[in-house]
Formats: sequence, C-alpha cells, structure tokens
Amino acid sequence: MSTAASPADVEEFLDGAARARRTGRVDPVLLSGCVIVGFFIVCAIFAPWIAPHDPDFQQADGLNGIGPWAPFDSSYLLGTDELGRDYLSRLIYGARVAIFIAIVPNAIAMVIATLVGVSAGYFRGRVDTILMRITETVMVLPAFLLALALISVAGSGLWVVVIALVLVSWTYAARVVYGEVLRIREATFIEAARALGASSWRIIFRHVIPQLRGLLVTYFTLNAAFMVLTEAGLGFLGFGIQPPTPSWGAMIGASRDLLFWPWLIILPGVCLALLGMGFYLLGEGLQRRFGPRVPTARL
Amino acid sequence: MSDSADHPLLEVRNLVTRFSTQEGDLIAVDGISFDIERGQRFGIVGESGSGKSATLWSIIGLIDPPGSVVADRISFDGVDMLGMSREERRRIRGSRIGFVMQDPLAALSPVFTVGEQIAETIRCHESVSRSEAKRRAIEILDSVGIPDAAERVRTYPHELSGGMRQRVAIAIALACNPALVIADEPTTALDVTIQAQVLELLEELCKERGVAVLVVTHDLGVIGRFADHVAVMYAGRIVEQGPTEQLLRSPRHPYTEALLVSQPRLDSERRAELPAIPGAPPNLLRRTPGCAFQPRCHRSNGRERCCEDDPVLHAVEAEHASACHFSDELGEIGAASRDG
Amino acid sequence: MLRVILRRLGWVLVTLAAVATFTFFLTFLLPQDVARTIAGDKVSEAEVERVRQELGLNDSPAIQYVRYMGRVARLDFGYSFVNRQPVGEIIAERLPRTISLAAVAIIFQLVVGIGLGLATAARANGVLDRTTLSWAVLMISLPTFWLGLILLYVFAFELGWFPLGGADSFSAIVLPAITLGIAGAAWYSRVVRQAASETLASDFVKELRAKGLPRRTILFKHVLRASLSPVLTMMAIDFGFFLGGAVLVETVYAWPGLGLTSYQAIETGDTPLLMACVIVGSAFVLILNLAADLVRTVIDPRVRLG
Repeated sequence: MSTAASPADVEEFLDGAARARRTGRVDPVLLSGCVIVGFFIVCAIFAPWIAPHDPDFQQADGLNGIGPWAPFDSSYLLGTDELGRDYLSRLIYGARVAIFIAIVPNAIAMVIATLVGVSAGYFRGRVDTILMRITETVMVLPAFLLALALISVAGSGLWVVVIALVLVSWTYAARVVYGEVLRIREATFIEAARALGASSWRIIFRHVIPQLRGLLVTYFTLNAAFMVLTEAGLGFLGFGIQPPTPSWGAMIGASRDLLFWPWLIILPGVCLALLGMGFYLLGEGLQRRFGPRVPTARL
Repeated sequence: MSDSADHPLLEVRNLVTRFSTQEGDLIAVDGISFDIERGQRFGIVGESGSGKSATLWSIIGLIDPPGSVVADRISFDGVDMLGMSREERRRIRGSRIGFVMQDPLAALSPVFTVGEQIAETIRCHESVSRSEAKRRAIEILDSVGIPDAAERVRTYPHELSGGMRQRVAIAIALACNPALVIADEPTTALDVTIQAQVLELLEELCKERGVAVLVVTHDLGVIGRFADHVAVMYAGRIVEQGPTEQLLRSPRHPYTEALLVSQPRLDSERRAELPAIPGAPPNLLRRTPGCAFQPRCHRSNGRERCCEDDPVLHAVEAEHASACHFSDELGEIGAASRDG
Repeated sequence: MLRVILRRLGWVLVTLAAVATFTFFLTFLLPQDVARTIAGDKVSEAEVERVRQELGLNDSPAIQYVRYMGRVARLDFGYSFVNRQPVGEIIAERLPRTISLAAVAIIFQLVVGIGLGLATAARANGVLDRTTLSWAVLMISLPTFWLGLILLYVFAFELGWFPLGGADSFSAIVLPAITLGIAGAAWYSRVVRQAASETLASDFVKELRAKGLPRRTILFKHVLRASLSPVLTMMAIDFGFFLGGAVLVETVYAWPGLGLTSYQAIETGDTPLLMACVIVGSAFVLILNLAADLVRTVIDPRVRLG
C-alpha cells in the first residue's frame, strides 16, 4: 500500500479473495472438492479390492423374510437390494461408471467444443457466423429429449450413451471457448506473431490453445458433474449404461416403486449428489484460484 | 431556510473519517473544518487519495462500514446532521443537498429513461403526481439546456453524449431546488470543450437559483474558473485555504505551489505533458511525525522542524490560512516575484 | 423491430425443419419393421405388404423424406402405433399439462432465485450469504429425479400432504413444480447475487443513495431491474435443459405431460408419438427462447434482438 485512501481503494483493500491470495492459505472449497472427487476416483480404481462382495452376486442370505436387509441390520453393512445383492459393493462399483462418464464423453465434448470455438473465434467471418449459429441453435434445443430419441432408436449401448452425452454438452463449452478465443485474439502478442508471418495453425496451436488450458480444465471439472447427473437421469429412465453393470442412476430407477425400502433410493442418490457436489466445488475452487471466470452458463 | 443569516449554510468542524482495515485504521480525512456560505462556490482540490471524495461522502452520510465518521459538528442550515437518524439524512439528500457525480454514464441507471430518473427523485421527496413529476422533469431538462426536452425525457442515458449526460445529472441534482449542490469531479470524465460548457452551466444555474456549490476536483483550472473560495487537501488534511484568487496568485504552501506548476491551464493552447509532483502520497495507515508533505517538498530541504513538528493550519492573511511552518517564506518569494 | 421478430421466427422454422429431418433419419435407423408393427402380428405377409404400399415405405428415401416433411408442415404426425389415435390429438391433450407445469416451475425458480439473490447481496456476509454457496451447490448437485422421489416419499407417501402422482387435484402440481424449479432457483440466486452485488457497488447506486432514494426502492426497483437481464439471458438458453428435466420429473410424478408421453412412447416403441414429442417439444422451447429474448429487450434497452 503505497498510495491510499479513497473509499474505492479501501473496498479493494478489504476484498476477501485478494486477501486469501495474499496469505496463500488453502481454499476450503478447493480442498473439499479435491477430497470428495479423489475419494470416488479411488473407489472406482480399486473397486475389486475395496468392495466386500461381488456386486452382481445374489447372496444366499441376501434377503430376509419380507425383503432386502436394511443398512446395519445384517452382515451387509449398507443392506442388500431387492435381489439380495450387497448394496455397498454395488455402490462402490457404481463409482466406476460415474467416473468413466465424467471423463470420456466429457473429454470428447471438450475436443469438439475447442475445435468449434477456436475455429469460429480465430477465423471469424463466415466460418464464425455458420459455426456459432449452429452451436447456439443446438444449444437452445431440448438436447436431453433428442438424446433420448437417439437412444430409443439406436439402443442404449455404451457408445450410444457416450454419443448422447456428448450431444447434450458440447454446445455450452463451445460458446465459452469461443468467447475466450475472441478475447485472446485481441492480445498484442498474437498480432505480433501474425506480423512476423506465422501461419494461422501455428498461432492457434502455439499461442491460442495453450492459453485456453485453464479455462478448459475448469470447464471440464464443472461439466463432469453435469455428465454424471445426466447419465444418472438416462439410467433412471432405463436408458443409461445397461445392467448388470451397477450405475447409480439405474439403481434408483430400479427401486423407484419400492418406497417401502427407502435406502435403495437414498444411498445411490447421496453418492450422486456427493460426486456432483465434489466436481462443482473443485471447479469453483479452480476458478477462484486460477481465474478465468467461466461465464455462468447453467451446466 | 428560515431565520438564518447568522450561521453558514454548511458548517464542518473537525471531521475525521476512518476505515478500519486488517492492517490498522486508515484515516482518510483527518480533522478538517470549513464553512460554506449561502450561494458560495467552494472548491476542494487535491490529488486522488487526498481524502477529498471521502469528505463529500462523509458530509452526506454515505460512508459505509468499515468506514466511520466522527466530527465535532456537521451542520446544514443550522441543523446538526450528525444527530439525525438515517431516515432524516436520506430526506435531506437529493432534496436540500443535490449531488453530481464524476462519470455520468456510470452514475445513471442504464435501464430507465432519463425522465424517469429525474421524476423519481422528485417523487421520493415531494408528494406530487406522476404527471406533475414528469412535467417538472421536462421543465428542468429544458433549463439545463437540453434541446427538445419533451422528447428527450424518453431517451436512455446510453443514447446521449457525455456532455448531455452530465447535464442530466445536474438536472437530477437540481430537481428538488436544493440549497447546496455537491459535485465530485464533475468534469473529469468529459472532453475539454464540454468541460467548459458544463462548468458555465453549473455556474449560471447556481447564480440564478442562489444555490451554493461544493466542488471537488484535482484540477486547479476548474477551481480557478469556478470557485470563489478554495481548500487544498493533502493526506486527509486541509493544508491551505483561502479566497481562490489570492490563493492561486500567491500560494502559501509548497504543495499548492507544486500543484500550480504541474497544472495544465484550462485556457492555455498548449496542453503539453506537464511533470507531476515527484513522489507518492504518504501511507495513511502509518503516519510519521512531522509534515506529511515533507518527503516530496521542494522547499523543506530536510529542515528538522519539517520532520519533527506536525504543522497546523494558521492564518497568514485575513481568510487565508496555511499549514506550512515556513508559509512566510513563500509569502516573501511570492511578493518578490510579483515585484520583480 | 417487427422485421427482426419475423426473421427470428423464420429461423425457428428452419431449426424445426432440421429437427424434423433428424427425426426422419432416426426412423430410418429403426430396427423394427414399421409396416409389421402397424399391421399387427397375426396378419399375413401379403397384408403387411399392402400396409407397406399404403404408407409408401417402398418408395425411395428422397420421396419419403419430402412426404414426411410435408406432413409435419401440416402438423400431421400420423397415428400412434399403440392405440391408433391420431398423434396430434394426444399431443394436444398432453402439451397444456407441460405448459402449466413449466409455468409454475419457472415462476417458482424466478421468485426464489431472485429473492434469495437479492437478499444475499443486500446482506453480504450475513448468515444467509455465507451459506449460499454451499446450499446452492447442494441444490444443483441433487439429481432432479432423485429429489423428486425423496419429496414424493416424504411429503406424499409418509406425510400424505400431496397426492402420490398424477394431475387430478390442484395440489398435485406443487411437488413436481418445486422439483423442476429448484436447481434453477439455486443457479439464479447465484447469478442474481453476483449481478446485484456488482450493481450495489457501482456508481449508479451511490448516485441513487445520494439523491435520497429509500433503500427498498434502490433494491427492488433499480438493483432488481439491473439483475434481471443476466437471469433472462441464462433462462433463454435454458429452456431446452428445462424440458429435459421435465421428462424426468413428469416420469417420477406420473404427470401426464409431454415428458411422460415421450418416456411412454419410448417404452412402448411408439415411434410416431415420440417423434412428434421431439418436434413439438423443440418448437415449445424455441418459442420460449424467443419470448425470453423479447422480454430482455424490454427490460434492458441496451440489448438488441439479434
């Protein structure tokens, strides 16, 4: 603080985020996001070692007289499902589907978004008009319904689900990338590179895309939550990753009429909400720490 | 209004404004006092961070926590403003005291018409009908020199030029016939030619209506053209105060002198880059003993007294006061240069 | 202005044509034999062939496409595979249900979102504000359908305050509308919080205070108005997402609207009904989008309709 004292200066001085940055303490938001997401990644990778039982095996003593075991009532820690399978093991294996969904379709969507956003933002002109017109139109359409229609016709194979998820999410990302490229494009060093006669592709790969890294990482994290929740929605309707592979959304869908045994619905939902929250917190934390601010498009 | 020629319109005594921060208290305004008479045009001049804006906001009661204001007295038209409730103070703002801000584009709401923004000011202070408020809005827009006022009430701020917007801001300030208009850097955001027009307009209107004006600026040109009395602020204190003409002709504080040298003149043809005063304003969190201006002063020459004694404002001539230990020296120099 | 609206409407039609084309290609991918499905299982191959002729399924794809688009343009979506009812009639019966559900949910999310956003911005660092991030993130992360089931379990099954589903009573709309709107409310509260606190710190609010406006006028007239624009921008591109949520919510609550209809159409293999749902759903969303953009130009005169 060399100069001081107008009210505006004081406001800035008191700004909490700046203070946190100065003191270099760990942001609790970022930390909790890391812990939650890390926990589920560990579950996904080490599922066979962590899970106490085979998730698909119908245990001989898996059902009591009237139905599945409730949590903490038997040797099955979180109870069993209506077919007598160990619920804890199914939840742990369910993390595998969730993490796969969070990464694979998400990454594909990011690649498409980057290609579209960078081409439109860098080349401008007609390319820009056409690409962004298409992007914005697709963005407005009811993507979930279109994805359902696609799956209903093509069957819910793994890759059809992946394609459906890419379909519903690439547009938001493309628009965010596009906005950022427009900003980067104005930077003087890009002017300089162009003046020196560098080719467009060279500038794009050497100068533009590296600058998008922070934005893409942040957006990838936020979008992961959206992917997981959307796949759960498809699974709930019976069009997600197919049984017997345990998927949290499908587990809820299978139990939706079994309100007498609420834990069958509650537990997978808690897992979904936790993982979703973990990704959002992680994304929010990354954003605070590294900026750039991802425009608040609903994910 | 009332009986009142015996007290000034605005009386400020020992005003202190501080902001509590994690690194200690930041004293933005450090015990200043001044009076504004009815119809007077009073100017406060200083660099950014000198506490001049904080002074204005303190007077109208808009310093928010973590800021706080204490004073021996702030009275407006003989009424103590410090003892007022928030609601009472709000009623004075906009009706008895008008306010003109620096950047009219930022200060006007982008989503309402200018007519609506003038009319809402009137309606929140006086119980008049919507149509009456609108009629008066047109009238006042007309009087600030906006052509086709009846049409222009329907336009939005972004559709007007910078000068027009500042005229609208002045119209809002004058909408309820205030006794005092406070203007915070009213011309800084404007082009030079527009600056002159706006100043002229403000001067004309205030004369016409007998309104006193308190103008804050970093531009001595504005002061010279507009104010009849001026206070120079540095590091939260008034370092020199007096009738404008006298103060500008023979400054009695080295800071005023330095400001004069670094100032482009409003009427000069050449507006070349002029050197700013070397050095930076002091850290208001940690005051050092002695004169606050001493490290940047070209007259101190490291004299002991400047580093040890805190100078106080003292009269050097009738109505002219300075807070420099060696104000007499400056007087002599001024006199010498005038004679020579 | 009128010309711009007409141009936007034209673009809506172009988009709908693209959606219809997409659905046409989907029916081509269909593994089942459409003529066989329509004719029924028990009829002879000759009879199926007659149906095939009648529907023109032996014509070239190009001719079929033109015919299909022509029918869609006349809003003729054919007959349901399941109960032979004209699809148009089914849609006409179901669409108003979705419109009423969407209307209540949108009002809910706007009122709650804007209210909370303003409240947290006005009392920055208050208890509400300090907890806003956590609860907003929680609400956003709850899967819509799961939240629906939980609300159904607690308020309908256990407490019996609301019907267990359907649309037979007036109170039946409450739980679905809250379920559908709650994530939006959480998002909007954060958007409004952001916009409103920026506005509150801006010069023009200082000016409003300086001209003596009461606090509530500043908050509910000026700050509110300035914060609406980002919400509407967001909402305009959100309706599609919203309809996706409606599919899930309507399924959970057995709310007989467009969403439940699409789900049932998929379950029963009723392709014409599903395709009609997709096209009508898209039209619904596109029109809402245009409407939101129009409202935005009214609220913020700086925005121009593109």
